[in-house]
Amino acid sequence: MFQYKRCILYTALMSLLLTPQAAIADKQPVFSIYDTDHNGYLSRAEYAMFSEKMHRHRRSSNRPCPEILEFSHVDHDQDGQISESELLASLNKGLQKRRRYRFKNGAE
Amino acid sequence: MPDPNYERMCSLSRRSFLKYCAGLASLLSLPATAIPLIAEKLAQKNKPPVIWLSFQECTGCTESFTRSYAPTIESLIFNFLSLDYHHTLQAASGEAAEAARLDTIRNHKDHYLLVVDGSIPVKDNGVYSTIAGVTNLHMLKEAVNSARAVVAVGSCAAFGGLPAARPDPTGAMSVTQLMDDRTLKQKPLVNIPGCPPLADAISAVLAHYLTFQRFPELDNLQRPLSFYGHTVHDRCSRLSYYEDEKFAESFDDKGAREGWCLYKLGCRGPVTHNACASVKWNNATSFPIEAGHPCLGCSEPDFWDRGDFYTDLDHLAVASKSAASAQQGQQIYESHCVYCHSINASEFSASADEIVRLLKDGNIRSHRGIELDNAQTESLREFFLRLKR
Repeated sequence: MFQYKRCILYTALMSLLLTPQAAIADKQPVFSIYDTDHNGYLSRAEYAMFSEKMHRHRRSSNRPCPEILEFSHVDHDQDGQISESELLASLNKGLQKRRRYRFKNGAE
Repeated sequence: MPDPNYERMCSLSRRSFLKYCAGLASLLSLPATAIPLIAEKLAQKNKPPVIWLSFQECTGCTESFTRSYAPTIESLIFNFLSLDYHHTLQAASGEAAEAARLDTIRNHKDHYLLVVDGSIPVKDNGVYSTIAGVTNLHMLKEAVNSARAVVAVGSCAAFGGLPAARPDPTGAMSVTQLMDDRTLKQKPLVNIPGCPPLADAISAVLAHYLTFQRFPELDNLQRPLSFYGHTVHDRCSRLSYYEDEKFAESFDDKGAREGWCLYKLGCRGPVTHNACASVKWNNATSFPIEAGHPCLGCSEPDFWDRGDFYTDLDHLAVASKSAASAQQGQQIYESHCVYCHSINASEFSASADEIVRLLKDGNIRSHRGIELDNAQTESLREFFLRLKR
């Protein structure tokens, strides 16, 4: 009985140690549906896939659509991948630009 | 086949004519290789017949058309087209005029171009507007049936315009609406909205049709992208002041005198697609914003019912659940949300209110970091509401 419990404990410990990081990340909610490997970052390839989809959408919608951000403009630390905080920073900059002229005289 | 007497006919030198064709190509965003083709087609002997029908309108579109400089109205009417019927411009009147219209319909079946300005009243069988005892709706149906293509000139013909503004007593409808609900036969249609539209947009689209036998590339509202592909704001002469956050607060303040941005005075430039700022009016002399008045957004649908002309877009977005607000919401979605969510917003199963709640409650990590303010959140809500209707 004791041997059996020890065996289960040992197996559980080993499985925790040997589980790859990506598998753990799998269980975390991803910030973007384009983060296909669920590693918490958008790689160049993932971003290119998103850009391609957006270009196709722009062509098919036949109307003016907003420009897509350049990868290099979002990847602030230039490490070749976009983190959630980098993307948020770029998006918030855009939102701020949209509203910066608003309520200048204090009235909302 | 180019007419050898062309130069004599239209009192234009070959150089001026080619210069004019180059101007047209430029207006339509066509490559330089299109210039000889335009020249050849415009100089042909057979002038395509045109019927111009005016319904519930103010003649502003015709007034604009007569101020066309590229080409001039004279060259269009006398050299390039055979304008067989136009209330205001034709010499004939009464029965002779109506006979000219019917002759063209009969003799040029599937060959004439139909230009329509003004909206069409359909309430009470269309009795609110008649010409020669015939309702506008009946006259339009008759003309559309045999037309090769239809050009809806002005916001009234394109979107219903002022006659369709609330409370819309005559049940005014646009050509697009009547084609969509199958009241009219489906024909190639181009909308050239504006109140009035740019004269050069009308004449350039007609010239494009004469040259290529089809309309230029259109947007989802059937407007030519070469003229309506950008907002007035994109090419506004006051854009630098907008970027520098220099705004006129009233029509007689320092900002107004200095020529600062008119956004706070209600300018609709950021949500209005038109070429006023680049093509301009009266032979490229000026346009409303340059002259000191905010853009009214006259080339967009329902512009009369989109709220007070002198309230800025942000306050309108907060105060009203208007189409402008939904349009802003769509822009926010397409420029922000798409980086994390599906490009197709209709794939969201949650309701508009549920989406707003999820954005606000801070339980979703990435949404916690997004800095949407109340107006922007409300715009998104309005966008999703309209999407799910």
